Amino acid sequence: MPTDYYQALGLPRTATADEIKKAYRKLARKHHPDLNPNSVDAKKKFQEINEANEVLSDPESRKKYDAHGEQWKHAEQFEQAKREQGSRAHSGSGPGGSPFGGGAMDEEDLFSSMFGRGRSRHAKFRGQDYQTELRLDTDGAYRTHKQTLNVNTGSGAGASSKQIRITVPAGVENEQSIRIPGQGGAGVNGGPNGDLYVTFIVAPHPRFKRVGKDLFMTQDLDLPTAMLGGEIMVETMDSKVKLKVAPETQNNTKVKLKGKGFPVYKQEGQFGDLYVTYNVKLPTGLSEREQELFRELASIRNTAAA
Amino acid sequence: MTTAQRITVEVFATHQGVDITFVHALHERGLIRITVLQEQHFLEPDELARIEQLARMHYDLDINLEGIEAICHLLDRMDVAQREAQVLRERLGLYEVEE
Repeated sequence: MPTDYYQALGLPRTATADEIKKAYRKLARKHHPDLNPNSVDAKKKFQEINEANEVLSDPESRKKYDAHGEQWKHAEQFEQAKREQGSRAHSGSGPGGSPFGGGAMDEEDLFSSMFGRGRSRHAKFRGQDYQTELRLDTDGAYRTHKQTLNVNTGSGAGASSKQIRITVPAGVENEQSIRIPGQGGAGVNGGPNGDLYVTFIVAPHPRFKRVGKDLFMTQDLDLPTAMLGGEIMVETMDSKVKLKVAPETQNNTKVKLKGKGFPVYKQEGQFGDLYVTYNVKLPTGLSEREQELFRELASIRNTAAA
Repeated sequence: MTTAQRITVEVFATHQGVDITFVHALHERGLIRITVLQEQHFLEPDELARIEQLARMHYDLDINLEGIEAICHLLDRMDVAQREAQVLRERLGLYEVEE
């Protein structure tokens, strides 16, 4: 994240408050996450311009930023240290005094300096929305389960993290996002908390390919079973099923196992289908006897065809 | 759904710091649903996130209602296109041979 807020908004250091507002609005309309769903780049860019705007649109913060640059957040400490040095000769406020210079800045001033103007007509501020990713394997997306998430809160010097426990619903898709209301940043002045958006990254399964609620897999079939028919065991996501193979089954034959696919998101008890494609494995390393039998088979088939 | 599970337009507007007329204007344009029960106007809980999103567009980004309406249509189309692309990517994966 660039430390030069003026550069982030594409403005000279002499920009007026109106120019800052206009530049922010213009860039926000381009990069706001609401207008660029699922775009990580836009989200990052918006965070940059938002932070720049929060600081530069507030005269007090801007003054500190102009004076101290990227260390502007510590301006209070610098100022306080100066004041303490100067006031040691006088009585001083002592350890119980206000950390904001003898109470010159009340709570509301502090919040407005932290959060900028926003909807300036309103006293309440909604907390910041948090975004996080949760990586799952296919089994994790198959079953509804609870999982603990580490959520990064804040950025820069104020960065920290918190743990929350969420329910991962069965059937979530790769790159699907869910919103967890109220788990974002705390609201200000009685405003509501922000929300937490969790994006699931579902890793592919080594055996199954998933298309929505349906699963696809390839099952090897030996030549005698393909020719003469028989029974095979197939492993589905949660069990093993016995499949009857019809005689003279062709390579790439597809069979559907109804209800053996993936759970349908938020529709309990409903599942997609599992499609099994047979891959007939031709034998290799034939013994002399096997070769003899194949020759015999070929001659029978040639005679029949003649 | 009972009224206890719904939120009134007035409460939502006060809580979010938006004008009540803005919420009604969204409803008039067909962008959100408002249910009237016993002469009170209620919002649907599953639409609150969307209404908050539209409020951000209006109040934070200074986009007027006509602009919001156009953006909503485009976002809906984008959502459909993204879902289609996702399904097509998954289908394409069926034909990819792993090395």
